[in-house]
Amino acid sequence: MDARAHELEQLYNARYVTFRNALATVTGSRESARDAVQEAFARALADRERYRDEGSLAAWVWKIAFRVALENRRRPQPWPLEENADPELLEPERDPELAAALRRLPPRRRLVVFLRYFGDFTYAEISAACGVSEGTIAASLAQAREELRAAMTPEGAAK
Amino acid sequence: MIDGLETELRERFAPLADPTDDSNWAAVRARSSEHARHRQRPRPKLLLAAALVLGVLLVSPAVGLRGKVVRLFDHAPAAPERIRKGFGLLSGGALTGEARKVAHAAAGQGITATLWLTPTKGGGFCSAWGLDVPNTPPDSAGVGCYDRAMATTYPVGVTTELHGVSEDGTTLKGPVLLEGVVDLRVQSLELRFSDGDSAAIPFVWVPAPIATGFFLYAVPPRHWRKGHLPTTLLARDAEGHEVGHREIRGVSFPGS
Repeated sequence: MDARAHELEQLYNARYVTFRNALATVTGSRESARDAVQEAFARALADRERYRDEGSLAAWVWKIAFRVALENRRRPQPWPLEENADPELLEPERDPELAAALRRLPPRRRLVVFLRYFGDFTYAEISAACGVSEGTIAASLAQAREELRAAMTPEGAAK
Repeated sequence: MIDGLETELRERFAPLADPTDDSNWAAVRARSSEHARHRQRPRPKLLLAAALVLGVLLVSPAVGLRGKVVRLFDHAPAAPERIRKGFGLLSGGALTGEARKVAHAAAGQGITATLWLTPTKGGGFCSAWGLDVPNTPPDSAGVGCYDRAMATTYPVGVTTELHGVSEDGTTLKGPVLLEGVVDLRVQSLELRFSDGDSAAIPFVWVPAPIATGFFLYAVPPRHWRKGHLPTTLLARDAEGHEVGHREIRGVSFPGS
């Protein structure tokens, strides 16, 4: 096995569960998220010579996984795929307050939150995955945290 | 304060995450081997030479309407086994037995791009652009399945395929390909560049059961440099009115 393939295997072993959990917010089910992650790593392995150390390997695979997930998504969405993800908690009834607060966030910011807290993505990885600067990600997450906190306080939730 | 919020959110999210590890690397490798057989990429040096404006050429009876060319799905040649198998690997419910070769585009240097389509059980379709380079195994790139709703909710969609940035950071590595789809409203496409240039993008319309238009455009090398990149794709109806436009994302440089 070549070095890149080995690197992909290490990434898979380390991040499979978090990728699947983050992706499930996009696909709407763990099963479809699992299939998308499997497909993404398979495509990444087959096309590994195309990866040229531009951004992190995790972000590169995530982008493939995200695209696969949207191609096979449960909820119909229009083109372009990248702009129409509407991620949601898989089981909102388990934390209705958090679910409601998340719904108030714009979809893109919600996705960043899911990448951070389900996917364990670093700021750099989110930056590479979303194609925006780390500063923008940091600002977006800071804003999201404040919005979530505000929404989860009694006063904020009542608004 | 941020640390406190971070901790609180992590504690809220943690119990919602499924810890089950159902990973299977062996299955990934097996699936990857299948992909590799069907999707081997042409050599970059040859593809550099392929970065010419592609003109859509039809492979059987068609009617031309400005940049739009109508291609009857039922009259198109059947797809070969490797393409049908490729569609079968997707999870979109492809009716692989109905896969057809719908169009091809000459890219120079003996390279051709071919569009393969097949309907799906759910009323959508799966598509694949294949790049055939002399003396290399056939390639199927840009494979995906789409449901019917996608083809009717937005007039034009576009994706980009890049191959990195040159060492000096001022020029994209070729080829720079734009591929995409249009719906029934669209009769012409215009690509605009940051230097004021524009180009008409031909596309092929495939009626029912596909009911979608397709384009593949290789951005000319003179537009791989900063200040000359593609910026916007405009879609117009038969009267020339704009019915949609897409900003060309992804054709950019890090930090720009």
